[in-house]
Amino acid sequence: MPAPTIKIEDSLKATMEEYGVTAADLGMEAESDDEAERALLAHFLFTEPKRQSLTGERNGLPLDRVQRQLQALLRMLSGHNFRIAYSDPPCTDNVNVYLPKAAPAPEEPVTDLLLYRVMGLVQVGFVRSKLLRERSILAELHRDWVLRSAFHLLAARWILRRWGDEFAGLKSDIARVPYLEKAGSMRVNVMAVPRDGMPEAFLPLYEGLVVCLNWKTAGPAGDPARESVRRVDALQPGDAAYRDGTVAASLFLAEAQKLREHFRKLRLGPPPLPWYLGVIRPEWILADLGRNIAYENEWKKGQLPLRQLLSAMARNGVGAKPGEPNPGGFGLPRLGLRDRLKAALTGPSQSNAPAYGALRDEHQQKQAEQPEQKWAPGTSADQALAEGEVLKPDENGREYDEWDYKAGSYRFTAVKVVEAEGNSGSKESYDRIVTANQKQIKEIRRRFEALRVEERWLHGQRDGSEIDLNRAIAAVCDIRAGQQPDDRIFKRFQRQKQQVCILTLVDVSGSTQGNILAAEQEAMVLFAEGLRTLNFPHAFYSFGNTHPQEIGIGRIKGFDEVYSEGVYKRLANLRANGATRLGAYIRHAGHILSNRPQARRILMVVSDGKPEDRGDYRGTYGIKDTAMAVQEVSRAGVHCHCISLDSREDAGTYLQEIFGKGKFLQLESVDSLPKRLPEVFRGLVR
Amino acid sequence: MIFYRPHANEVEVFETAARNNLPVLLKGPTGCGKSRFVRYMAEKLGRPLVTVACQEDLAAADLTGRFLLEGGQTVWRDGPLTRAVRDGAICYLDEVVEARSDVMTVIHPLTDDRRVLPLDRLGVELSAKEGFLVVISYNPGYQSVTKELKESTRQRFVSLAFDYPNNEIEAEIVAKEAGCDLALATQLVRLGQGSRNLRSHGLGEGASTRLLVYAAALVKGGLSLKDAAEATLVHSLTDDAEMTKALRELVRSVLG
Repeated sequence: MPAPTIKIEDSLKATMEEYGVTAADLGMEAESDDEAERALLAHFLFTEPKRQSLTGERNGLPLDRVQRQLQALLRMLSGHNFRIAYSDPPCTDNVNVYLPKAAPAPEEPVTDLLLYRVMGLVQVGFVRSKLLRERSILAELHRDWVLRSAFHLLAARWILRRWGDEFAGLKSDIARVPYLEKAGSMRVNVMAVPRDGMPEAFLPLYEGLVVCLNWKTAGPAGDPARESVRRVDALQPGDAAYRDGTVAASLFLAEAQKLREHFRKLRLGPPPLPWYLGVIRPEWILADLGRNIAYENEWKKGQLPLRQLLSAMARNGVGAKPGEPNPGGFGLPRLGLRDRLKAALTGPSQSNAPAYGALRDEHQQKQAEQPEQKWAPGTSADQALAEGEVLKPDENGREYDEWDYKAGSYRFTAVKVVEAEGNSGSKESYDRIVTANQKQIKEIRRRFEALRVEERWLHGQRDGSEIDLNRAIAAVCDIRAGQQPDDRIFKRFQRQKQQVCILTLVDVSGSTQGNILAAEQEAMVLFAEGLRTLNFPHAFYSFGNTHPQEIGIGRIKGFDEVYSEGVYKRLANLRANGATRLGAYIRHAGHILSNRPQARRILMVVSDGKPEDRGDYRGTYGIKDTAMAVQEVSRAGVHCHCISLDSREDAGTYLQEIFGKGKFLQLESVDSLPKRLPEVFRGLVR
Repeated sequence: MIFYRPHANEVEVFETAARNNLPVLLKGPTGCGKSRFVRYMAEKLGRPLVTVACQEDLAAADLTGRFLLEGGQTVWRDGPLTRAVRDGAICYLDEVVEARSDVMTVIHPLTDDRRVLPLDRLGVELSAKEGFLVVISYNPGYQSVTKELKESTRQRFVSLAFDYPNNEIEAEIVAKEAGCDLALATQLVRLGQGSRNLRSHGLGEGASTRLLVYAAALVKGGLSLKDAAEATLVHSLTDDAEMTKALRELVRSVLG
């Protein structure tokens, strides 16, 4: 290896400072006495020209434009149900796939789509193959940057090879990508690296893994990098390490460890990664595991709201996701996850995270200071109290039992549901939504028109526009056979109304604040516009309570209410508030529907997460009670269907437990709610 | 004998049910082989098969029969159900949820131990001949509240749940049905499987085995695989522009 000649310039030092990076952050403590080594590394990290092309200053195809198509394709290929979100560089948290908002310049839609496809394949490959499931491996990768980069290159090669073996069409795509100029940008972690001047020791690995995806291995014989690549390439479909991600991960880790030692001897940092391969973020996956542990602990201890605990963890950068501030600064925060979790959970802490006990005390103190809150539909209780308004629940509220699965019996009159008028505001919001969605409303109306009436010939009528020939013949036959003929020998064309009514119950709990609420609002307005043309009896209610034993349900439009200024205002002015005691709401909606004369009654629930409320209405308790509520209303002849905005893969499990197979729809994107809600309804009554 | 490739123990269950005069309900997605199975079983058991494709105007009288005029005389003409009852045939009511509700009322006494068909117009009650069996089918995937089978009806039947077969079996079926080679059938099955991954996530239903057989037949008839896939597995599944593009990408990824 030629002796490094590059020195850390002042400008580079400034960049390092800007990103909060120290030599220790680079994982080079052991050999940090060599100034030249760090200088070389800095050269690879902070070269300016390539960075610009990767910061999206001259973006190519935006991901939004192809996201749905891409998601559909990757789902079809992988059979894995996930969601695409934004992150640059691409990565995964083992559930969803994160891709850059836009491909870098220049604009070449076909090339960009190809690039997105391969980026997605790499990340979906990680998820699908379960390469990043082992906590011990994740911890190893988290600790060592060099190890992680080497592991990543080997794993990506294995993933892409498997895709290519499985799908002939993908093989050619994968082979094309490395030759694209924009895909050729390399980075160590989040920074770009120029290929010129790359140390020779990296070349076999880099070229073998990345450039030569036609599966040729470059580099001199006996080179450790070349040997590692050869071992990965030698895997055959029959081998355990080819089929099984867990076995493969162990192999890649072992190879990466050898490479790390090799690079250390040569005083090298991590091998550069091409931009499109993205990064591995073990800290995200570990943080999710950490959240589960924290949740379980919090649940066992009882009182402390999980949100505070998670906030404390977030403040320390544990599991920061795209768009969230990450005090680790650089893309590779040394989180010391175990310690931080421990600190966040138990304290006393050396970090800034309040200790568990302190959080609990703080919370209890706040609780004690707060006056008892009363529920006000659509209005934050805090706000109402601040305004000095006295909010008294309706005396005519209805009490419901709750199913306690542990006791195997009902808790009688456990909760009282009070119905009141929903939140209101200006009609402008309604008009704005209608104006902005004219085209879509027209389409919804057109599709609903077909549902409005059943246009068909009604046979066997006593009076009608035409003779029903079959029945007339039957009548003559009866007369001749000496039998009493049926006089219903006419037929007429009738536009017959469907005997259907629908109640839409929309979740406006606190968690919907933001884009979910906006999407729900838009969906309500569009759906209402469509339903108006149908003349189906319909109602809209919102739920989100602030009091555990006396909860409110907001009436946006009752069944017998005509569309008026007030209804428009309530439809377009939902307000997020409280939690989700879903079982009680479903029972109440079932009660309303049971009074309807229509033969078919539909309850459509729009919700964004698990049924959870204060007290013990959480986890299994909430799910079991809600499932029981659905069974109760089903027995009363109400067809219950849910549209869930909880796109997590595991959400399907609890949704199926509550609503039953085929009776819920998980939306991949909140934005699709306005379009999908009318479609689901149409599917239910067609 | 008609080709049918069993997926699990459905043949055994059907045979046992038929031996014991127990009516059978088949449920499963579109084009997964329900109707083919009934035809196969009828042949295997050596019983005649009467198939009725139910639709919303199908009434009980259409099944039982009616008087007709013939040469100035009134003549009773049996409907398909009556014919099956008299002949000891298997009466298969395909997509039964589409029919009017009075159809269910008519078949109820045929599905329990009475095994009789009351014919009001003739003033008689026909006893089902040995071998008669009611088989109904429906697709629970419709999710429409107007097309659900009543609980009381469902409980009168021995139920067999169908789904698309696994890749190997499905490839075998497609190859056999279309008379194509197994390699082509395997490629088509992979396309079918891919599209089914999108069920409820953009597509109402994935490609049925029937569609795969159509695609294979088109290829055998001289069309290129890509064109055959476009005509069957892309345009038959969706009208949505983005989903169409995604399906095309799938075809390209699988076929190269």
